[in-house]
Amino acid sequence: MKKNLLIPFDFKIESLNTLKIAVQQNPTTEIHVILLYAKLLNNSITDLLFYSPREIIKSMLNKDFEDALSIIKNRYENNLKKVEIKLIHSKNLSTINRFLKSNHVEEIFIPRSYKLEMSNNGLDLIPLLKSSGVTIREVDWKQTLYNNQSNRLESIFNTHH
Amino acid sequence: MKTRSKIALILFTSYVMVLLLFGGAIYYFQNKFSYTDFYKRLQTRAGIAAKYNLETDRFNAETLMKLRQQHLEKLPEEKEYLFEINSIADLKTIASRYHLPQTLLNDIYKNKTALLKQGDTFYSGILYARQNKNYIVIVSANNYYVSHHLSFLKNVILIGIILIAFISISFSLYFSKFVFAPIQQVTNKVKRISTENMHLRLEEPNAKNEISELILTFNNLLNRIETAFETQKNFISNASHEFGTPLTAIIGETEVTLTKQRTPEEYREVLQNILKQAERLDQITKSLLFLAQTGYGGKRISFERLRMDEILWGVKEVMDKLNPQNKIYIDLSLLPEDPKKLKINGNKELLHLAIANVFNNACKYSYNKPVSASIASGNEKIIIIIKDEGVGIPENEIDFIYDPFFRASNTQRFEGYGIGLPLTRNIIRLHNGSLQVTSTIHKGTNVKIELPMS
Repeated sequence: MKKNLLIPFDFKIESLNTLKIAVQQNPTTEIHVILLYAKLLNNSITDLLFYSPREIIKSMLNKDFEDALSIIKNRYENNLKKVEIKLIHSKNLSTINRFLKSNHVEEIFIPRSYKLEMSNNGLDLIPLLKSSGVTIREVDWKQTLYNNQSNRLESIFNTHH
Repeated sequence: MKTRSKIALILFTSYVMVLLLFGGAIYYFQNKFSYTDFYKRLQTRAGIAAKYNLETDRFNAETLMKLRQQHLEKLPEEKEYLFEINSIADLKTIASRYHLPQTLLNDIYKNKTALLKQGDTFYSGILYARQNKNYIVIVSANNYYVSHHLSFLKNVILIGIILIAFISISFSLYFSKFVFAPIQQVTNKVKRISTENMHLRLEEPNAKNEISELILTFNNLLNRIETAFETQKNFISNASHEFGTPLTAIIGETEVTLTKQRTPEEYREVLQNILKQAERLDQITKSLLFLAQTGYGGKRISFERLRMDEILWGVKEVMDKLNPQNKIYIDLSLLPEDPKKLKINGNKELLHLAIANVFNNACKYSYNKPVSASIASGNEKIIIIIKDEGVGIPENEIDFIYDPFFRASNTQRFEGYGIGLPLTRNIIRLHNGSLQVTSTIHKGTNVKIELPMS
């Protein structure tokens, strides 16, 4: 039984907790996850001509994030079959709906108390996703409170004593 | 040969070669053109001479003559010859009588036209057949251009090349010196730096070029070397201090005890103190030895395939015996599903020691508050994170925690020699891993260990 999930994220490790909880809530189903990042492209012709989502994603990834992602993949190897990072460049509801439909997204997982830290060109899609037709699941977790640890590997190891 | 001289030589030779080529080409082509040009003019004249001398139409002939005199200037030493040829033998007679080259006459007879140059004189001849008779028409002249202008050009070019050769020598020398001057400066400055004045640095220029990069890199290197030097000096003074303290205690206590007769209990007490100090010395010596061995790749250490989670459990077991009040919690929430992803190549005893050190520190500096040890597998590596809620490390001291015998300013209430963390880091490095410590003062410390998966 396969399920396609979508999770909006901000390339920060803390946001991967949504992924972790999404998998935890689907222990028996085989799931494919799309991690969605929304970014406004500027209008310059050279940028559009040489548009390469791979390059954009590569420039936003860092070593710790990739480590965190592979930790989660290794932990839930059996049912987390695929994790893809995709970009979207529009705030338009119908574009988003089209994207959700063409990727056959069945559920969207959204962090409740964690605010996505988008960089300057980024868009916060959560309000728009909420008004799409797809089922929304809100998840929550206890965030790490150290001040400079918003993007540290420790963020996914939420150990509560 | 010095690079400088090499560059100067290369520059100079290439200038001169280009010049020679250029000058030579100019001379050669001009030469060729002037020959061709001259011959053409001679040929025209020969043709016209044939026409007006041998054509029976007097009127046309006179027109031609007029044209010739008006439009074709007289060439220097221009001579015209017209001969009637009846047999080949005539050629020889004509040649000797008029001092014309035999080869020219033969050539004209055979090929109908011919060109020849003898010394400065140019000859152009044609064979003209008319009314069953053969006539040879020859026009000769001196090529003033060749004799004077071209040789003048040749001289100018040669002198020009020599002059420019001199200029380019001085330019090449100056240029090479100029390019290499900064390097020479750097070399001179560096010669002054030695162990006595390691704090000297090169002046960093504002420009952003290869030389400034070299200078910056050099300064960085000096910084690192100086730090290493200072660390070594500190290490030696710290070590002797650490050894000195227990030794002083032993000597002092025994001297005092020997001043007068004591009771057996007092002697026993003193002996126990001496034993404690001696054990402390022993511990320090062993740790130092270990540090030296792991740090400098001493004897061979045997590696085998181990499971990292088993090591963690092993250390926890030992901790439970030595420090029953510990609240170490091994977090397996993100353990990989495939246990093969927890295997590493390592030495069991060393890894035990490394982890035990970290666990000990976590418990000690937090007064046995809860400590979490998480283990997980990432991309080809195993990640272990040990978090404590202890006193933390001040931000300005966190770079020094790996220095042997360094103890942070907030550790006065805690026992320790300052060898555990450097030792742990060396061990992790020996296993091709990395260790990273982050901390917030009064909140806690996190230690992240990464080891390559086997």
